[in-house]
Amino acid sequence: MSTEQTTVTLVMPAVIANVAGGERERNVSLPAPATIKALLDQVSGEFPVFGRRVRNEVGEIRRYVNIFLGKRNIRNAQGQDTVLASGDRVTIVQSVAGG
Amino acid sequence: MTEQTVASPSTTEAVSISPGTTVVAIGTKKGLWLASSPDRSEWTLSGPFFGTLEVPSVAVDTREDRVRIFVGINDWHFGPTVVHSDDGGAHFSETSAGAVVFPKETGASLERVWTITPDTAGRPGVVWAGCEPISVFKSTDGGEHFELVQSLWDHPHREHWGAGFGGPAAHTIVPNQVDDNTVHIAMSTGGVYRTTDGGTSWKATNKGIRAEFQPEDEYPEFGQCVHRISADAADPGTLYLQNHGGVYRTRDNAETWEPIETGLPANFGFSILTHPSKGGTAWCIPVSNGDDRFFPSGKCSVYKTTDGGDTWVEQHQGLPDEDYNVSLRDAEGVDGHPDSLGLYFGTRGGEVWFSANEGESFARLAHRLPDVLSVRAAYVPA
Repeated sequence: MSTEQTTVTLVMPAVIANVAGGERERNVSLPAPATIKALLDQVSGEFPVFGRRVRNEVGEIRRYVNIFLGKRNIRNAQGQDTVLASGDRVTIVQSVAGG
Repeated sequence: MTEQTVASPSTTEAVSISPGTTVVAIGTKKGLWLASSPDRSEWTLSGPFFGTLEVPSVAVDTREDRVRIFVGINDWHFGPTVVHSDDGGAHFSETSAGAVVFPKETGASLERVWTITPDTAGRPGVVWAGCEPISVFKSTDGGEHFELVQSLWDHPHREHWGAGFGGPAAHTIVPNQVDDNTVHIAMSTGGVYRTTDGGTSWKATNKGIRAEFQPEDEYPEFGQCVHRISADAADPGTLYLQNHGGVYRTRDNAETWEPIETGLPANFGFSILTHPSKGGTAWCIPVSNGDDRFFPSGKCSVYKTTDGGDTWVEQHQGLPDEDYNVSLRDAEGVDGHPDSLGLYFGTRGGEVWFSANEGESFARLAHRLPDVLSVRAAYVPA
């Protein structure tokens, strides 16, 4: 069994960081090969409210939550199956909308 | 997953919930306001709490020697949830796993909590939530956790239930005052359903309620767009109903319904309220029709019956003569005051009106708020 780890940086808006330990940036180590889903699962396990804010009960990323790997929205990649590499920055962005 | 209660301090000032005060919770399109008064004359208004978030449901539960304010929040970005405060809004708490959550095997996710209904004084830990998609959840621990009422979710009619304009939701829950096994619920669109066996089974009970929008079958078994129901204080088998066109009464526990709209300026509307201790007394707030949806002729009035809906009397003192607005389905409440019942309602124009004398006269409690979606009030026993 591989013990290789993938370490990424999760970047969160303040409203999400407040329910995930308080820091806007968080380094997360995951068993390789790692995916966005594994990243969200791991952080949700530690911070359940974070999990509910970002994904719904069936595990879908909420409609107005966007997750970027670098500059790319994962909805334009492989969604939660998008593979991560060490050093990646994963940014959670709420849609800019409303009135 | 470890489940914890997470309490967050508010940045908005709390209101007094001391004995003898009356507390009002006002949910709007953008935030929650709380009001408190020692005499129902001068009010302290505080808000907004949850400033940018929709608050479609609120409740004030004075059972168990505490005042618990429930708030159903809809965060457009980060999803719906239910929080509660026991200290007038100084802190709001939620369980880390979420108070209202669909079981994974349903394949459903919560869209909005449309109503939060504390059960009777005799069932102090029981709180209900009516939700979108159409579902009912029940809590037996004072609203910390809610469980899906699976029997209703599994109802063979469910796949045929439709969506009202605001979304498909179970929006009214009426626990029977004396029979632990009987509950009536209403949904849009689906109509009224009743259990008499403690939730093991649910029966559509819509006989006599017209579905004017239904081609070639205006009196279906189910599918009506019922807007609200409320039970009579003296007889729990008597209920009143505001339909999407039509005001109705049942005297046989919802087996059959009959129109009671004579004397009303319109039969459309969203709300029906009953007096918690006077049998035969109820209020509705008519709306012109389903097309323009203003107070009839732009005149804001409440209509009261004291004879079970046989006759209605307009109550308008203190209310505006011209107000092109509407009071939405959950934006009304009564406060349970033991001397003289208080009546409260909000409008889409951001005003909240109150009466401390059963509707004889009204005054403005709040104005220039966002659209008012939900209003509940409670007198805190001295």
